Amino acid sequence: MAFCLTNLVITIGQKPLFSPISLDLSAGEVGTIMGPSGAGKSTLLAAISGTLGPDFHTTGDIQLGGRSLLGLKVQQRRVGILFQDDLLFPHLNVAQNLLFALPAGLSRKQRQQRVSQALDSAELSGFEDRDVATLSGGQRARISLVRTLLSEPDLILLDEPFAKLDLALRDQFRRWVFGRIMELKIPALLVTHDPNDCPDVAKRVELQPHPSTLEAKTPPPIRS
Amino acid sequence: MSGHWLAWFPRLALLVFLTPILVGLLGTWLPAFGWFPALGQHQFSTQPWLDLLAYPGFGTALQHSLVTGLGASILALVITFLILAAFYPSRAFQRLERLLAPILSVPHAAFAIGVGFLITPSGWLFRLSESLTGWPARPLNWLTYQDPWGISLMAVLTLKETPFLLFMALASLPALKVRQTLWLGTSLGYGRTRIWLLLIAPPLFKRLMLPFFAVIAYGLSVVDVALLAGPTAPPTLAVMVNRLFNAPDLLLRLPGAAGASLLLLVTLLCLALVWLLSRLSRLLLPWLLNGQRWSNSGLLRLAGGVSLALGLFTYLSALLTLVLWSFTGQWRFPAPWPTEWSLLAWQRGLGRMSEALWLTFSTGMVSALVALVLVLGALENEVRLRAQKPGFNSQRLLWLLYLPLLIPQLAFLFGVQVSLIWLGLDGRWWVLVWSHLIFVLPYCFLTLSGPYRAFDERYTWLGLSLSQSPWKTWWRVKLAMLWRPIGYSLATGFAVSVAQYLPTLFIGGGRFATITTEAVSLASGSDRRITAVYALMQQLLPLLVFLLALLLPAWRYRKHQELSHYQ
Repeated sequence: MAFCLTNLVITIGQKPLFSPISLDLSAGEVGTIMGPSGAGKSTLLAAISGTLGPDFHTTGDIQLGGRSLLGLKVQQRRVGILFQDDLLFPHLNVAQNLLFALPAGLSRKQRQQRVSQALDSAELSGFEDRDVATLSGGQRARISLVRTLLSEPDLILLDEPFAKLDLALRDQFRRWVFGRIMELKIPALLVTHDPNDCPDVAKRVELQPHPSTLEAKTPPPIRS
Repeated sequence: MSGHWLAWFPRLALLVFLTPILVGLLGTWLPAFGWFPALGQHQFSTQPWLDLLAYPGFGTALQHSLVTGLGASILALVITFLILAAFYPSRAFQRLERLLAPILSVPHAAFAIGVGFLITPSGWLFRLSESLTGWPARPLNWLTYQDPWGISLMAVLTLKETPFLLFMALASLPALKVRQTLWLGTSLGYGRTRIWLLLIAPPLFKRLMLPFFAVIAYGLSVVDVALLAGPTAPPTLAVMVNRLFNAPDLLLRLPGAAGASLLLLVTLLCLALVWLLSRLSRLLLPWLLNGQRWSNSGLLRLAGGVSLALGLFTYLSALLTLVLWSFTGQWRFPAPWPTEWSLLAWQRGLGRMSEALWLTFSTGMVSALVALVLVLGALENEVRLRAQKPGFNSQRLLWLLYLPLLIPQLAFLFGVQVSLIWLGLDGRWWVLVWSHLIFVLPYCFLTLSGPYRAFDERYTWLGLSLSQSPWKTWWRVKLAMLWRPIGYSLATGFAVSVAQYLPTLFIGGGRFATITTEAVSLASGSDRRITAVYALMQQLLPLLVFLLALLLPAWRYRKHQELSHYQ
């Protein structure tokens, strides 16, 4: 399953947010989008996942597994997303959160099995009945990723998912996430402003301000 | 507009209340100008207006309406601001917020009856006073309730409207960043009073404008409360018009229609005047910016505290009086407690009210549920539009939504009644439900729109990408996380329906009796015991539904810390 951005530009009110970007990712490959805050990183992810607001306009193409995602609804894109906040459903317990993501057509037993396997993989065996509010930040982050993976996406987007974890946890979680993604052989796109977040093998794209907006966007020099 | 099926919800909701209002207004204005074929009147003329002006007591009635309606509304607004300025934000206020739901759910009629039992010359207050001070030994010859100046009516209306304004204010206050503003103001040496006057009250009033207008329109045209607590000879204009509509002489309906139309004009005029005054109040700003600090806020706290205490005391003691009377066998005058206790009133009351009780409950539940479905559809349609249309603004519809609350009920209900008779639809239950829906719908929308719009849509996106099913996402994620405000909205709608008096009377054509209409008509009788039972049941019904709306989500979320605390 390959993911491919071709000359993608997002504009708001005629103004492009960044220079056209192109990127190819094959299965199991991690791409990273870097750029200062306000460069349009999250907007780019919204365009890929299909949640872009009506004020934005996209040109270029986004392809996943040979089909164009543009014009498809969120639920048709098979794009999983992991936000900075874990966004576990607060009214469901751990197992229910995971069950929500499982595809239909599995027997009861299979569903339970998948959930406990997923929890094993996150080193959280036996956490099925726990209220998500009682989990630690690291545990919540792991459940959140496992939940996304259970929905069997063709591409996974990571919107600064490590930013809210404390330093000690961050590195461990990061390695675990990239390990899982490579195992599953799906492309992943990571947005971050922390160079430490990028795995060594990742393809990197820097978001540059679009030439036409450069003049307007350059702040006046500050002397300290 | 697109043809998406969700787009039908706002249209349907608008149709639900705009149709009867437009038809009703027309059906009132035509008779007001002499055209009333049902009574053989085909000549357009101004005679009904002249008849109205010449009707005995008309001038005083209009004056009563203006004084009590406007007076109570302005008092309620001032007290709301006093209480907020004195105590918001504080821990005590958070506790007060929890009391608001049960207080708001008290139907107007039940409250007026309770206050009556409290402050009439033979009321509980004087009985207590006698046992403490020996005065008065016999019921005073004073007019402490239904006084000819409208003071008791004004007091009841003020006490009933203040919680509503407080509730609406609390919904907008978080956006005004009160804590930071107070901090900033204090650091510049200003006291609470000045900070509120200068920095918080103006933007807050802007947001409170529509609810305040609704309060004014209600105060000017209310019938049930005015019947119970208002002056009698002559009564307020609304009561007089209602009497004309129900007079044995059918031709009196023509000046009645003129009176109802006048009520609409007076209301619109008052609203325009208040709006103008609020614009002019800006001219006060330079004067307020004279550098005075008023750093002492003791007086403000005192005034706020006294208002709050008085309000809570009245609600509590009015309720207690009703409870006492409902268990009374005999209660001679100066005795502070019933001299003889009895369950007879409850036995007799419950025995004969079962039909009215069921009608009240079913009408309230069905109208609230229908309203909820329409509101949910309309709000979800808004989410869809916001995702599709650049620059979508949901605020434009708000005025339209407030329409049923800004137009006096009397001004169009007569026209609806006439049209229904003409169509042969009068006295049907579903028409009664519809008539309640006109007033239930706006309140359902007002209570649900805030939390629904504030929902973090990222949960929806996640749900969609995880489950690939919009329905499953909406039902199992969004609604499941919003059960609390949804239950609250349903309970509010139900309470609004229970409190309806005029629609039941006009649309039911005398065939439908709810607890509310029964309570109001019983109150004019002499048996306080049975009246108390009805007033209590009228209060109990919405309270129970509010309680359920509170407890069911709490039970549902009992294992989920993040949602289990009171929101």
